Amino acid sequence: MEKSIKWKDRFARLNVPIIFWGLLLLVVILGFVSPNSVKPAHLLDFTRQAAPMILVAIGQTIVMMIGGLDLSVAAVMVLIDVVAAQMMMNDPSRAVPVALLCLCIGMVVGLVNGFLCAVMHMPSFVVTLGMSTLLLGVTLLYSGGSPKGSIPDNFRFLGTGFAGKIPMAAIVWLVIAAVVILVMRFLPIGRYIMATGVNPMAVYQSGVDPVRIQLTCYVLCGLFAALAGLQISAYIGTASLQLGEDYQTRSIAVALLGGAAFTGGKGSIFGTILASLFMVVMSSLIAVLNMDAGDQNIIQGVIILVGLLLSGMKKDD
Amino acid sequence: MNLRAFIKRHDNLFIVYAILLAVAVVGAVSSPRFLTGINLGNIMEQAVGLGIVALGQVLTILLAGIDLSVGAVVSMSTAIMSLELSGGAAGILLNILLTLAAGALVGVFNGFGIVRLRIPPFIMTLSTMCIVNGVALKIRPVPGGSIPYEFMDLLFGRIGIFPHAVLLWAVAGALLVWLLGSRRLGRNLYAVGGNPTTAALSGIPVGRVRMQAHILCSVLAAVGGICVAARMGSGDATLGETYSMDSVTVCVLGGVSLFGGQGNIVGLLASTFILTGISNILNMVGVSSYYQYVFKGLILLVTVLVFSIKDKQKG
Repeated sequence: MEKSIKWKDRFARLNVPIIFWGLLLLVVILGFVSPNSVKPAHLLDFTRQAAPMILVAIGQTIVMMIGGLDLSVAAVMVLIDVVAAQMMMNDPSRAVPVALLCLCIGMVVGLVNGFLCAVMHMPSFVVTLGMSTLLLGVTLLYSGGSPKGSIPDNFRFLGTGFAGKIPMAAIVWLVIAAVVILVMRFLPIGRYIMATGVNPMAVYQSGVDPVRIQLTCYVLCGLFAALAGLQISAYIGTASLQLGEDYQTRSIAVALLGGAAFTGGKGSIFGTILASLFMVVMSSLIAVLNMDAGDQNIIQGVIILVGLLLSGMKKDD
Repeated sequence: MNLRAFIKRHDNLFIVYAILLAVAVVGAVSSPRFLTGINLGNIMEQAVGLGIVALGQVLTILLAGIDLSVGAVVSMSTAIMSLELSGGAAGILLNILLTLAAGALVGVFNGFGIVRLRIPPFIMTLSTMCIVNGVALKIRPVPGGSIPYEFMDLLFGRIGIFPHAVLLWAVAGALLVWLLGSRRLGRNLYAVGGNPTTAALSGIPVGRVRMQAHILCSVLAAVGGICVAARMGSGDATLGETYSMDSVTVCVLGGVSLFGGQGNIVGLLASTFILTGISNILNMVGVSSYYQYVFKGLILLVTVLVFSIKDKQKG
């Protein structure tokens, strides 16, 4: 008896996000339904498929930590994909400068969002919705409705290549996520972000400008959306106008599943990564079940709902 | 009340109607066909569906909530309406009843999740959106089916320049003005939207108010969907996608605060026509329709910026 309590204690201290059990459950179900899908190579492939979602959802989580929300991430991703393909034009020497330009575009979008939300006190929902529509228009005008160009192989390596058995895409997000987690944990900015979400006034009184923290978060979100866009470009190798739609609301769902809340002051990068993997495995499970589009949508909605209920959404209003 | 005080009190409304006027002037200047009866009728035809959906959306936004599932309800409505259940013009009545019932059911589902399970409206209605889209795809996997010509004519035949469906829109609008202005539900809605805790402490059944608002919102979305179906003449499970965000845009432009408890539906008339008018003008002038997104986004951003600067000055 004593021993079991101890185990429980030790377990509680690990603080495993609930979504981890959801992910495990999905993998087990997938294993029963389609044993081939849980072979190591296939499991590693999940870490590649999840790369864009993980990157964009990290940004979304950071913005949600300060009580904001960014509906423009999907539009940024599509814009970046189109810009990258059209400007790289399959020329390997252009890969690095264009990629840097794309990251700048993402940060500028984030800066405008942040300025309107944090400085002008406009609701983030409206600002980023307007920005999303605006960027969609810009993307369509820039590409003329039928984007051209393609991504050179040296850049595509980041999306499709392998280092040994490990997909490069996974290495990319692992490195980026590790940096973000370390920064959030050990640098003051991490605590300021959380504190700004809970009580900006208190942050102000402790001598830090909460507006600057909020601006930083929106810029970071734009940056991560651009990274996600580049990751998608590197994987598919061409420009596409259709790929982003899923990410607009789903990145928010992922952040929520990972422990963030609309009220701010909550969220975990680690949880968000697990939730992104959860989404990818869910899509894969739905795919192997061979259902029609209607059933797929219904199942997705239900799984997200159940996931949210289990993640203890009850406590937040 | 003197004029200046009146304008100051309703300045959001003046702003949005001024934008509408500007859009109309731009339209009239850029194309001689813009102000013709036929074209104005076309604009109204396009606006009715969105207008009715936005009338529902406003109820959830007044509660500081949101309903992202209205677009899916519109899709599902066109799917149900296009089922040829029983022959004849009168048979469409069954489709209408089914559509409205399905809408109400979605509202109950949203309300249940938000009130009982305490899931935030954004994510609850997002999940509902997924599910309802799925149901719509089950009913009509590919666009098709047909709606009796008599029914299309009933809604979109014209008296003068006015399509009949405008009457439906007007009735829905009048109903909401009445509900929000002089009924208990309206008063409770503003109270809960302003501050749910205070509202609950003063004995307002917060849960019931939310439930009613979501049911009404989804039913209005279904009515909007019926109009869209009658205009298209067939069913399409992806037709409604844009209605969710567009209806929110209409509400925000119309001066309804996303923080809840503030705003009324008078501005919605103007903002609905602004959104519809922009794409109409671009079509008439023959400019790339991609500009409509740029203009939509800019107008939304600039208008809300003006609202927020103004509120700041007021303190």
